[in-house]
Parts: sequence; structure tokens; C-alpha cells
Amino acid sequence: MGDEGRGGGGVTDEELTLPRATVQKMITDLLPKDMLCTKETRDLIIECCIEFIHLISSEANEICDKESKKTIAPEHIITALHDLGFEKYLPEVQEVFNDHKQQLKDREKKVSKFEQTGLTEEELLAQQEQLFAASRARFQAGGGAPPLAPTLGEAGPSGS
Amino acid sequence: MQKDDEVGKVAQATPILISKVLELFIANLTLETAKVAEARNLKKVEQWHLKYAIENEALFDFLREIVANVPDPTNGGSTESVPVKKKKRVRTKPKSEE
Repeated sequence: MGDEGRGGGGVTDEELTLPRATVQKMITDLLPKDMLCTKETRDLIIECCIEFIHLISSEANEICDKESKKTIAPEHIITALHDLGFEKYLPEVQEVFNDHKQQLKDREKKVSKFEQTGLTEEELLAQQEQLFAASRARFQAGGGAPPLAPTLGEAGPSGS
Repeated sequence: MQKDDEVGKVAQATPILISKVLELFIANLTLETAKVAEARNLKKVEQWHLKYAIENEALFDFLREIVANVPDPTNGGSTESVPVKKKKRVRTKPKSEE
């Protein structure tokens, strides 16, 4: 998704930053309409954010190590926030985490529904083609009648 | 996160949480700073407002070093902005060039 391809080693801390325009927009949206933030202050806020990320990451990393895990999981982030005193952020963070889990579940459901037909993609495509062909045939047979009412080909208003 | 040499792998959901946390942090910091400016009837949010907000909130203690060189106008310093210096962080693995 957001891979920058800078990969590998050799990236110094001087190059670490956040998109200025995005941060500026956030600040502007947060401040009352008649207030403004200087560029230098914005840059200072960005520096604070980077420090914050380092803080959370280090703490989460330690928690992860203690559990002898190799991958930093969301639960580690949540514990880190708690340990560092940022409990007030937890409710919203938890909400985002739950939404994400829900999305994953929904995606899995769609995939498994697909798999449950027990057919391969080619077979499914073939079935789809057959359905289209049948539909076309009905359409043509009905002399252009709307495909929604294939059995009432002779048409005429009403009929109850 | 992974620019830090000590951090290994990161789960897929983790950056999503970090984004949210960062939004909340920026909001927190910005609003505290704005309050400092508003308390002085100022419309322009300056660096020293941020410094003041940080020094007055225990939660932001880790940020003190970042704002340390911002002059404090109440102490006779100037209100001129200082260029933001990127903080040099100590890395665990030394770089190959010396």
C-alpha cells in the first residue's frame, strides 16, 4: 500500500518526516477559524510526531520481545499506549482495531462464499456465459421484450 | 517504524492503529498549543506556545528535548522563530563510515 521502495539500510534519521501538507491541513482543521499556525511551529509539531512514533514503536517492540514474538501486533501497540500513559487515546484506537477486524471477517466471508461453490474459476466463468447466452436467447425470442418478463412475451397491458 | 533497526516485523493492522494514534496525538498537541495562544489573546500560534504546552503536560515530557532550544519570551528571550533542528537519535548499530 504505502511502500516507498526506499528499502534497505542507509536511510538516516534526517530523512524521516511526515507529509507537510497533510499535517498542515490537519492543524488548520483543528484550530478555530480565526487562528493560524506558523510554518516553523508546524515543522516542530512534525518533529514531535516523529518522536512520538519512535516512542510508541520502541515500547511496543519491547513488549513484543518480552512475549518472544517477532511481529509487532496491534495488541502490543495498545499495551504500549497504556504503559506510556496515553490511555485517553485507547477507546478510539480500539474502535479502529475492531473495525479492521470486522472488515477482514467480511472479506473472508466473501472469499469463502466463492470457494463454497466448489467450482474453479473457469467453471464459474463458463456458468456465467451460459446464463448470459440463455438470457440473450430469451430476449431475442421475445422480439425485444424486456428481459424482466420473458414469460409474458405476448405483452399487452395488465393481465390480472 | 521499521526505520528503527531494533524493530522487526510489523503486523498488517499495526500501521492502521498507528495512523489513528498519530491523528489523536496531533489533535492533542495542536489544541493544547492553541489554548496557550488563546490565553494570551493571540491569533498566531508560535513555537514557544508549543514549548509551553509541552512543559505543562507530563504526558509530553518526552518532547522537551525537541523544544529545548525554542526561546522563551517570558524570560527575556525573543519571539523570533528558530529553525527546526532534526533531533539526532542514537542508533544501536553504528554506521560503517567513521
